[in-house]
Amino acid sequence: MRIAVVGHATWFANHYPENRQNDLNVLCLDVREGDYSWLIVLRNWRPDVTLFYRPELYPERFLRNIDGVRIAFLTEPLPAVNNGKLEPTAESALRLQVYGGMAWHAYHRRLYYDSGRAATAAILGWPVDAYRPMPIDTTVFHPPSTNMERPIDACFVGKATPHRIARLEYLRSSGLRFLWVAHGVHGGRLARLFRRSRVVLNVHADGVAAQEPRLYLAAACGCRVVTEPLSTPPAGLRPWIVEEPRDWTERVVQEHLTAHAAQRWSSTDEAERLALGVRRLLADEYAVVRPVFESGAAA
Amino acid sequence: MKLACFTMLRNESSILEPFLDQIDTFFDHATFLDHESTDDSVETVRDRGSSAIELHKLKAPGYPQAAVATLFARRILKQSEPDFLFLLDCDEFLPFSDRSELESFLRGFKSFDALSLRWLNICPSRLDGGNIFSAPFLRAPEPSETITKVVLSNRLASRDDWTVSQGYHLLLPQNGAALRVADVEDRQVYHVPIQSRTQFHFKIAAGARRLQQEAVNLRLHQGWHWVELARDLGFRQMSDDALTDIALCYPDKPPPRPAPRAKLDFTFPYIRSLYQETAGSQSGQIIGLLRQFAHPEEAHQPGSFTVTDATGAVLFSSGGPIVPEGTAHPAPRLPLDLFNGTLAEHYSTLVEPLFSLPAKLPPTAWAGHVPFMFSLFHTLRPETYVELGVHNGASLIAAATAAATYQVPTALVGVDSWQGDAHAGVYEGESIYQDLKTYLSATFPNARLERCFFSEAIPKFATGSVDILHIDGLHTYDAVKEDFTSWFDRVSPTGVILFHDISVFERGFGVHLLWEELKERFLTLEFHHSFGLGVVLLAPEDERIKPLAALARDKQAMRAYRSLVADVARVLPERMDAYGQRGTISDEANGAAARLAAVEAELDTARRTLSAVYSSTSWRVSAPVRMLRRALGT
Repeated sequence: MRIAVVGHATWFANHYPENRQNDLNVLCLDVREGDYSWLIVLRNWRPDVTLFYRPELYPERFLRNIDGVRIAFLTEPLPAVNNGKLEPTAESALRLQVYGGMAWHAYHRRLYYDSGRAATAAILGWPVDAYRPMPIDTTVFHPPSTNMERPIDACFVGKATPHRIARLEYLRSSGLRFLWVAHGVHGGRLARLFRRSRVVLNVHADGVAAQEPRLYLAAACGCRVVTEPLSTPPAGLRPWIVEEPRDWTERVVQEHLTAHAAQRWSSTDEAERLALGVRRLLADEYAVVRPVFESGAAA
Repeated sequence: MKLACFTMLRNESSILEPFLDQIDTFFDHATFLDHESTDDSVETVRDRGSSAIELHKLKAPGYPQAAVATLFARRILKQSEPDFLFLLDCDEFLPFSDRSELESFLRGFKSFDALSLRWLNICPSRLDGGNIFSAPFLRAPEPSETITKVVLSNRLASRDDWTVSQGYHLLLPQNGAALRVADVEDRQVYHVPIQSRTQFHFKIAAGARRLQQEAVNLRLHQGWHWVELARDLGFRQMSDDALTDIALCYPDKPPPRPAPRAKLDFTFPYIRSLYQETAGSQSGQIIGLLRQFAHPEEAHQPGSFTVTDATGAVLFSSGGPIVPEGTAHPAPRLPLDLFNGTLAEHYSTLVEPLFSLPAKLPPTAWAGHVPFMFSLFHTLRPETYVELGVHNGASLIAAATAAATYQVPTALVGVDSWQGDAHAGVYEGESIYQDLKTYLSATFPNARLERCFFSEAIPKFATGSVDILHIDGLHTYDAVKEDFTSWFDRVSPTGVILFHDISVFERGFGVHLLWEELKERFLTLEFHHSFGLGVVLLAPEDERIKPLAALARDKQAMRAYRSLVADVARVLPERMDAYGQRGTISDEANGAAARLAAVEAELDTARRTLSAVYSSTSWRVSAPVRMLRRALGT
């Protein structure tokens, strides 16, 4: 099967198919914004299935001419719903504008990464087919093969926002070995960073409960992910993703470090990690769409 | 009242859904006969899932529409017993809003053997391949004076003394039989001969090739204008206006001053589906063209055919009695020489990549060779590609797209001074260069431009480092020989060298002279369309080169391949239009200079086209025919 994935390498290389470098049947296309003529490459390549990250970016005239099953994976945050009304923040309001260009019917399958936003999608009238966590490249994001040292106590990966600064700033002057990476690390380097970290912190950009892909990237590397409340429970690796409603004092983080030291990677964890794989998602979704697609009724 | 319809179809998937809407609206029974469609027409009919539709298959090297339609008409009138049987093509639509309107119209004709409806050509207001039913059509001022459309009544069911003409235009009596045919003047069947530019290209290419293969009509001086039109379309771009004129006068030639057009005041309320041109429908059309490379002996039997039902059982065959249903005979296999031997062996390398598109197609005389560039990259997977003479960058962009498509990390370098020359003309190169540079750096970071004279760029490349060298600079013999000799040692011993314009023989073009010399020394491929492309294979025994070398040594395969590449290239601009990716590298912001340069480039292309046509072998060979036609006034 010829698989294609389209998404900015900087952000989505962590979510490209496993073992892509050694497989000529996989085409991963980095995104160059502004002029989307490079999408013709995808048409030429004639994939059986294509996974589009940030599908709202691509003009319909290119999409319609790409062979095979087209799966849209929407990755931008949406506002939460309160009492039946959207509660946009500056972050999510901006993303909503970007979604205005989405060619919904050019895709055979439309997935959203956060099932906690199903109510939002319903209010917006979006034809989302399923909610799944963003798949991860499981050949890159995995626990260390040996009992290697984890010299970083706590790590956070994400851009600085007022909410995050308020939440994490104290760690800079704490006794913990704390590392904050704002951007620029992805793929193998990010996986190595996680494998050298004991606890990975997850702080929402604007403090609103949501799901984030980094939860699973970090947990797949055997880190204890300490997170602010999520919009929905984790979709896998639950022993490793812990919602922490208390204030994140140094003592609280220490408790999680102690808990991490006692945790062992089980066969169930490994099965759940593999279930988050990109190829697994593609196989699942292709199986769903294929009968409809081949009857000519899809899209 | 019971109504039936018989329809033959071949690669009609774009318009088939709207046509099936018509079938659903008006008919109780429909028989479709598929004539070896290579797109998904058959699946589209099947997917309607209507019990009122039966689908059969026709195998025939020619187009025996009259014989087959007559057999089916008799069968349908006897077995299904409709009050009226319509014979419609997929591009023909009835002028009634609903079934009751049609029935009330037909009631007055029950005492006739047949009706003869007028035939009115209509044309979509846009020819870009979008849904043609979303906007009003243009209509010819009057219905055709000579062509009508016949509808058969059930009075013919008990008679065998009639046949249907080719095109379903007439009911012909046999053995002096008297037929009562009502000549209907106030209603006309709407005919959409041109649905889009792309569709028309395919229609003309297929029609012209069929005429040439069958030869019968051409010998009778019929159909020559289709052959010429196909050649015209292949060589130059026709405006939408010109195509509309052709559509509204179809099948005749438009007069020098066509009558004013009018909008059709009928909006086809029974059509719910979209007219859709997809990658699948276009690929199917191209494969259909390929299939016309039929076995030579079949061309001598254009009237032979076999009709099979869904199970493969033979219903009818030419020359024999009707075979009882359920008697299964193996249907004859259509021999396809094209897919035997070299092209079959190297299909994925040589043929499949031809259907690729470049990310952008600026105005260029090189467009016809874009498909082969993809095959070349698929075959060679070059590490370094160097182009001498870039101008608008069409071939460089094609090469960059090919590298990206096949995931080859090729370093692509375009060398040009962007000052023009005696052959390209002097143009405003600065904006072209800047636009191209901006486009490439944003889209293909592995491609770069060297703005200098060719000789100045030589030191930037190590000896033997260039896998593909593309020479397309000044085209005098001395200049191109200088380019070849000075760059030769930079080319890898297993490399390939391309020469454009090997088929231009005037204005001092001397590439053909050097090409004749090189052909003596190297294994080569050559293409004659788009001013010619010569391909020198330096190491025919190299594993990567083997598919190309096999092609070079197999003359029959090369002849077919050459024709195929030209066919695929012919519709390239229209296929690019679907993406809006055809045009200059410059956009509006880049000013008049760039636009002027583009216009000049197109003008130059047109001039070169004309001279290439005049100097081409086919033009010279066909001169006596043209003279004869002029003398006969045909």
